Amino acid sequence: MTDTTATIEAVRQADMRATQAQSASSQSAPLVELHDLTRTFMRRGKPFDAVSHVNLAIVSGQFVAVTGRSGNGKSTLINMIAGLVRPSSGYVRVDGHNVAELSDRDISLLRNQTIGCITQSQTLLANLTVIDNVILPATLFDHCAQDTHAADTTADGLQHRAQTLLDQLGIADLADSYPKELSGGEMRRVSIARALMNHPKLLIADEPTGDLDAESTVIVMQLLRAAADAGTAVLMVTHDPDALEYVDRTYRMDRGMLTAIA
Amino acid sequence: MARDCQQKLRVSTMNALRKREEVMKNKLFASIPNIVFGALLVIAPQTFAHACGAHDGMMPACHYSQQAATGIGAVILVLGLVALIVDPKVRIGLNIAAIANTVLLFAIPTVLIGICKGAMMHCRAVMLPTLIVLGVLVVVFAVLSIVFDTRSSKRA
Amino acid sequence: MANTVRNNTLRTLASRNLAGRPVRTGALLAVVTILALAFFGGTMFTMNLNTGMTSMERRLGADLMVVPQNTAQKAEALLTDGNPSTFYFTKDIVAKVKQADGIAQASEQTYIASLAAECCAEKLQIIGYDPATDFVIEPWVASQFDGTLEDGQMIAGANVNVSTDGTVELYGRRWSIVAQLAATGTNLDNSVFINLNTVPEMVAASAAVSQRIMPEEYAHKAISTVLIKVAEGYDAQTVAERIKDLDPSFTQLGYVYPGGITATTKTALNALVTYLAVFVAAIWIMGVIVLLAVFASSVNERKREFASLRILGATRGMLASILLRESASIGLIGGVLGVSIASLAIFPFSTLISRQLQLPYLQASLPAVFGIMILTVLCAVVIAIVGSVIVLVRVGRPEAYLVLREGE
Repeated sequence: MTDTTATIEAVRQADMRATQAQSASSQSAPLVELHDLTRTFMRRGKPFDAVSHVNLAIVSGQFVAVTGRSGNGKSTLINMIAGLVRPSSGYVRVDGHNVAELSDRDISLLRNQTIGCITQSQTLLANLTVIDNVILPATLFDHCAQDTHAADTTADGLQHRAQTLLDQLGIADLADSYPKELSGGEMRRVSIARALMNHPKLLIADEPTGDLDAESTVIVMQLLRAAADAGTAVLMVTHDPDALEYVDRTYRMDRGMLTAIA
Repeated sequence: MARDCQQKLRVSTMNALRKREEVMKNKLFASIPNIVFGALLVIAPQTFAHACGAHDGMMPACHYSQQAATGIGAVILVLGLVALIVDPKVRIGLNIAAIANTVLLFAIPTVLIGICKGAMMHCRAVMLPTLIVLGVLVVVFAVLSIVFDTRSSKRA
Repeated sequence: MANTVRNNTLRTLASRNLAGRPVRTGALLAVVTILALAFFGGTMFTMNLNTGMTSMERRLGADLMVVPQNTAQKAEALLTDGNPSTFYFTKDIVAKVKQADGIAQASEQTYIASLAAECCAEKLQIIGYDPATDFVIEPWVASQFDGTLEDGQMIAGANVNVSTDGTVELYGRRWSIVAQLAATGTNLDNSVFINLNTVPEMVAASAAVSQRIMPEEYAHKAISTVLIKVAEGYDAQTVAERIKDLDPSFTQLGYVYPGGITATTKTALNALVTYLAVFVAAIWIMGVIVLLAVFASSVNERKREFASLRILGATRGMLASILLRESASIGLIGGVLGVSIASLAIFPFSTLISRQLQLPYLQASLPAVFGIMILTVLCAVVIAIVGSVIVLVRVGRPEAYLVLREGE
């Protein structure tokens, strides 16, 4: 086991009790709320529901997984939560906002400040170094006053925070490398560091362990677990059975319908 | 632990490769333009951009300007060749010298020696403009090269 | 504080995108540079030719020139861009010619081709004219020289090399120059103008130092041409016929119609300008197609990049500003490069160009040149921005973000 995982394990143990208390208290006001959420696409001239009447609530500190074969609406679901795809009916509430009703600036702000996305594909910007990729989200908007974590928004402060994140993820050496020089597992970890940069309340992870070797999978899953234990709501889409060991609740997506697995 | 070592090795190799690429680029930038334009400055006044012929058995001023321009061209050519084998800080000096030489190149046909006075004469219509164009190119590339070399030696 | 960080990142992102894709940036820059070069070069060239043409038209104020037998071609060359020459007939012929019907104004001139004025200069055309009757040179000279041209004095054309003490050495004598005229882009720039009374002095001076330019007995009566302005209701050809009617030997004289020369030159010039315009248009059409193709080919790659930015919380405005910054920088750099390269060829070599063209070619005024420079750079920026709008439109569609998963 590497130094990193050991550290994260320690953090996780320490945070366990506090988090459980927190998640119990915030049960009443879920961070993410999907109500009767439907998205209809046309396929060969016929309408079909990629996501069909889905109801789901995720509270802070909760780690939720959605499984299911590809093509069953999982990515449409998370795209709707992130406000990238509009629902045909129903609504998504994130942190009290109806995502579909927000203006471009407000939804962008929500994505930037509240949501952290770990995407499956390579979404690091090829022309920025690893450290600049991680800092980027923090530089798009002026930080809101209530965001106490990110009070230090000077260039040095951001640099320091990004370096700390890379350090925690065991890729501090790669700070000045470019994405094309990284392996898949390293890119995934950079993507996680980037998602965590703005202290998101909700972390959305799309196949975070896809095409990773077993060792990298463990590192990534422990990181996500640690984030959840630190109070972040985590929504993960996966079809990796190994990843399910780390989650609080698992749902199954089948032809657009979401069902809980005990 | 083995994985960490591997990663470090890879990172340092990548950095070394990137650096070598930049070093090569700067070196070529500092030398090739001076070699090419220096050579052209040697050749042009002796061929197509020649001076006017002798008038009444007397060599006109432009003849001497032409010879001087060839000499300056040779010096710039040598500066370019030397830039291939020295380190960046020296290259900065070489390019400053190239700029100073170009100032001399401009001064010779205009102030120091002069050329024929007739506006339609060959040395005024062809030689002078050719020298000016080549000189401007030498200065432009020398300034760029100085900027590149200063930037990378500051970083180092 | 946060603001500075934020602005820096958006700005550097654009320039880093350009630096990170050297091939794409290079291709775009090359195309924009070529477009700017063609536009600026073509426009400058056309403008200089037109300026030269206008100037030539203004200098050729006569409707008809009567010249000695077999010298019509020399006379035409003298008006446009030929070599200096000497030809003459005698004053008594002139006096007769002047009696013809339909002449409003007539003035005689004498043309003498000089040897090189001094070491390193070229042959000059010496033009003797009669200030009392002249209607061709005086109006033009008047704008720059206010006074009468005394015997033994000279007015110099733009290209004549006048020494610092205001004289020109010709045939071993220093002649005082009372004025130097602005450039016309024609052969007149290499001329010196003297009073007709000075012609014998000039002939005598030439006899003293080298071969005499005309036999002594002609010195006082040699005239090269009679310049005629026709009266209202006559045209130049009719007047020429009237002159021929005066004396049977007059049919042998040469008749030059400056209006016709201008027309011929204009035709040649228009052909050249049209050819140039077609050429520049062809370059622009091809260039714009290449530009759009390069932008279009970058759409897919950029979709992914912009989807990433969108997920991080970049607004549409931010994406547009990144793209705009990139394309505007390409337009600006390419435009300035193109203008610089074209300037490096056009301005230093203008003498050579004018010599090779055999057409009046006169540098346009500085404000006009600067205007065209700014216009060129502006066009380059606009065309680059228009190209990037394609990317923006195609990347800007909301569903484009689905590519994050579907593109795999």
